[in-house]
Amino acid sequence: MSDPMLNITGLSKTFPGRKIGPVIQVLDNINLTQNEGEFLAIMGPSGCGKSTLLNIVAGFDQADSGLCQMHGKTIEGAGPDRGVVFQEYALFPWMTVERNVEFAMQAAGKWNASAPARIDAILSRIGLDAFRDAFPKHLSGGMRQRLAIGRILAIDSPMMLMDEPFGALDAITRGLLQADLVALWQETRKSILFITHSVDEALFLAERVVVMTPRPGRIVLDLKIDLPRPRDITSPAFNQAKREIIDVITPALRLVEPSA
Amino acid sequence: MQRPPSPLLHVALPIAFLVVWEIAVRVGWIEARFFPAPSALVTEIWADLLSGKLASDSAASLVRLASGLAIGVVLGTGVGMTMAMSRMADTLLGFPVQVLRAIPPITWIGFSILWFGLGNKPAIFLIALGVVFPMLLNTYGGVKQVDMIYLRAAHNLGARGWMLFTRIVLPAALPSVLTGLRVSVGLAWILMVVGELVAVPNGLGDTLMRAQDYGQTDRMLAYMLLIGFYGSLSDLLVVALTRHLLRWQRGIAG
Repeated sequence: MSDPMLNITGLSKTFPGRKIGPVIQVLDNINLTQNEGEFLAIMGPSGCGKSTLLNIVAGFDQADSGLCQMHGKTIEGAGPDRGVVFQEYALFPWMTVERNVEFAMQAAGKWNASAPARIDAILSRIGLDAFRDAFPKHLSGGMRQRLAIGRILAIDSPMMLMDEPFGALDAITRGLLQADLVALWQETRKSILFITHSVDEALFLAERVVVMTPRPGRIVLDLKIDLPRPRDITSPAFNQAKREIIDVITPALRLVEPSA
Repeated sequence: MQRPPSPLLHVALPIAFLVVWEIAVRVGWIEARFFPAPSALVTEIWADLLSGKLASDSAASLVRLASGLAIGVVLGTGVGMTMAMSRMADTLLGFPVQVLRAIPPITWIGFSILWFGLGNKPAIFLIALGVVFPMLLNTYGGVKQVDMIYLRAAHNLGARGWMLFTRIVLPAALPSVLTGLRVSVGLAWILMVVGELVAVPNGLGDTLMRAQDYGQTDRMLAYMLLIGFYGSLSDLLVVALTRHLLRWQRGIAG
């Protein structure tokens, strides 16, 4: 494996300002590599360009300049090799739980004789076996997001892109899903690119945390997290890492949003 | 929470109304010629039921209605989708559609007979013409308003072309299309009667027209109510179809 999973070099993007406002530099010369099987969190306050970065990796959006490669090949357009888990779940409400997974496999060209058995396995893995004929509307937020993750598991994307996937969930459900995700990653060792604005979430989940700050959107810290798993979010080591991140973000944010 | 009225009241109220109506005509409070009694209407319908005229009229009308609806729905949904998906079709057809849809369909009667002669065709043409625009506009709006997130997610999973269209765009636009269908069915009944008033020698509208010519008010009112009954029945069918197709929209209880 010579080429890394993901290689981003000199990536920049601007958004035109609203009406006569100034042009906004959303991403400014981003350099980032992610290794095969790495759980990487990109953490930053809103407006730092982290979601734009994910959208470019997903192929939903294009950079103005710079390189974005997966396995050494330039990313062009969206595709099932980079399965996205959206904050809004983005399940298809007219399909049952089972059909949502089935559709994902058909769309990704992963439908074969063993697919029905795979759906069964996935549904029991995400705990939705009993809900296979339910429509997404009948599921709780946590169940919906588990289904959205199951759908990406089903198509076996080598890379999973998660855009603040637990942001809309209550704290308890979020905690459960975070623990589930860690277990899932330990089982499958998929490369995960996880976007979050929560320092705690990034530190609890990831092997490596990249911190971004806004205007212009830049990487200001790249931190390897060696804390043992399962991680204790109240431990001194956890808090020390948290302090380190906050110390970098706060002064950078002061420049953008001066306190009154 | 308001308690739903008991089913007994549901039946009892209309019956009471009919009884009062009947009495009012019999004792002369209402002149039968201006507003016939329910019993007179039943007599008319009963006679036509026995003679088979009711069945043949209903069948003739329903065939026209169904044909016009089918043509209008297929054409309207097809063109609506094409316009929503293709910028060129949208630019090309946008203005003509806006102008044509603003013309009341009834005003096409003259041309419909000129082009198609007498018989089923002009009536079917009128119905199709009335139906095509609500179908077109609702389909167009439905497809245009498909939530970006569904398209993104489907695209991400690898869905393209025909699959993206049939499994994502179509079901996402379906609620709007079905709204168009409900409006269309209502319009179709109106235009069916209009078409039958002038162009054909049978059907519910034709019978109604003849009764009017002879001043048979009991027959007139009987057929008016019959058309109303059929119309509400067809609306119920559309509502049932919508409930079934959009069952995924309903909450836990559904």
